[in-house]
Amino acid sequence: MNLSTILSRFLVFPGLLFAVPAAWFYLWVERKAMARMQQRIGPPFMQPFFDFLKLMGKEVPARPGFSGFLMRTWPIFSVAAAAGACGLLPVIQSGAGFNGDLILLLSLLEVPSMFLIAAGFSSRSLWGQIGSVREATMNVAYNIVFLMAVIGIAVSQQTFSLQALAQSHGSMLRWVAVLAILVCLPAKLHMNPFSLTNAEQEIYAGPTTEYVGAELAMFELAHGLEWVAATGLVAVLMAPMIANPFAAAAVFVAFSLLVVLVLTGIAAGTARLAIDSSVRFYGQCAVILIVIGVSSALLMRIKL
Amino acid sequence: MNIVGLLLNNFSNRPVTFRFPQRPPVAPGYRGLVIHEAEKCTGCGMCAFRCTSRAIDFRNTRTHFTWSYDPSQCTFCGRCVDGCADHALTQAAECPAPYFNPGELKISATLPRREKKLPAGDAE
Repeated sequence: MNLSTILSRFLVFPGLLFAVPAAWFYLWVERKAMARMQQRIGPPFMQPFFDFLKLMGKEVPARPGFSGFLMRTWPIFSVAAAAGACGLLPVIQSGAGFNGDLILLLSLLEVPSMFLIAAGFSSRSLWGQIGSVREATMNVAYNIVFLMAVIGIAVSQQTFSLQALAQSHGSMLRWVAVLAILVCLPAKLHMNPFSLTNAEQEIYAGPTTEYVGAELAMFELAHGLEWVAATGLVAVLMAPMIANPFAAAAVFVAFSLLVVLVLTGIAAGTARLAIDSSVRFYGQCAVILIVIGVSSALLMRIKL
Repeated sequence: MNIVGLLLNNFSNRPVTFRFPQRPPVAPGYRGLVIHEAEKCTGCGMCAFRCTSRAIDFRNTRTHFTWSYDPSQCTFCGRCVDGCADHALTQAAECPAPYFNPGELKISATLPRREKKLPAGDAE
């Protein structure tokens, strides 16, 4: 592991240079697929990029005081954290990872969500605060399942290195854990049926109601990067590790897009659940999957 | 699981919406924008009289009259067309074209007054 390898991973692939266009592309795929499932024509290919440019060009109102400073800060840190999470994904066999990078990835994946909660409260908007409370509640509900699923895989392979996990062979346990992660992703990415955070017919845009211009553009970009990182994590766990870097990148993108389409299909076919139903769902149904996963992992360890 | 079949069916079928500026086809008998044929109009002002939404404005002087139409106020009821004895008004059989500036579809024509041609039996 040397500095150039680390920098190329964080800045080129699968870091910033790849992740930012990929974020716009995944957002377009999601919006286009959703539109086609609803018999609409959907946005043109460049629409997420144009949306970003348009927002960047809009005027941001002066926000005095410390809360104004915080409101300007949260979106930037969200983008940085989400881009960092993308850079950690072991798509190519480069040896740039380290033991424990799985924990770093999980924590970086949580940062945009935390900052979104903080952004809603900083804005002092009623809708923002309701959105933040919803996001915080959902965060606790789905993260129990999400973290247990990922930790279940790590325990079964006895490593917290993403590279080692990506290179290890798939097992029944891994598929159970991947299924549990897929169940959590709609809540993580604010998709139906768990789109309570930004329930636009109820609370406008939730935590980002008071955000405009470049600040909102950064939040949208962070959301796109979350898509890349979250679907990329599933792709890394599902896809076989390939030595050829170009083939590995192609397989990674193909698996990620498959996850995007599955999530879009779930979102198009469901309606938004109430907060109590959502929390109950994660409490009662999804934990069962993870109990199976963790118990299998422990059993496999005993067998070894 | 009907919803899965429905989504897949929608996905494979053609979308029902159109990309701008293409417009959807309209049903037969569709009542669109009012079209004014100046050469047929005698300036009787019956259209303005019959227009309940005040979309048609009619002002006349001794020598000229001005006929104006504001589609933003029009309910496309067709009463003006039905009441036009000169057949100077018709309605377009397609959706109005998209426009970018407020009032872009407004039309106005100032024409010289003409005597209405009466049937031969009515002339004294």
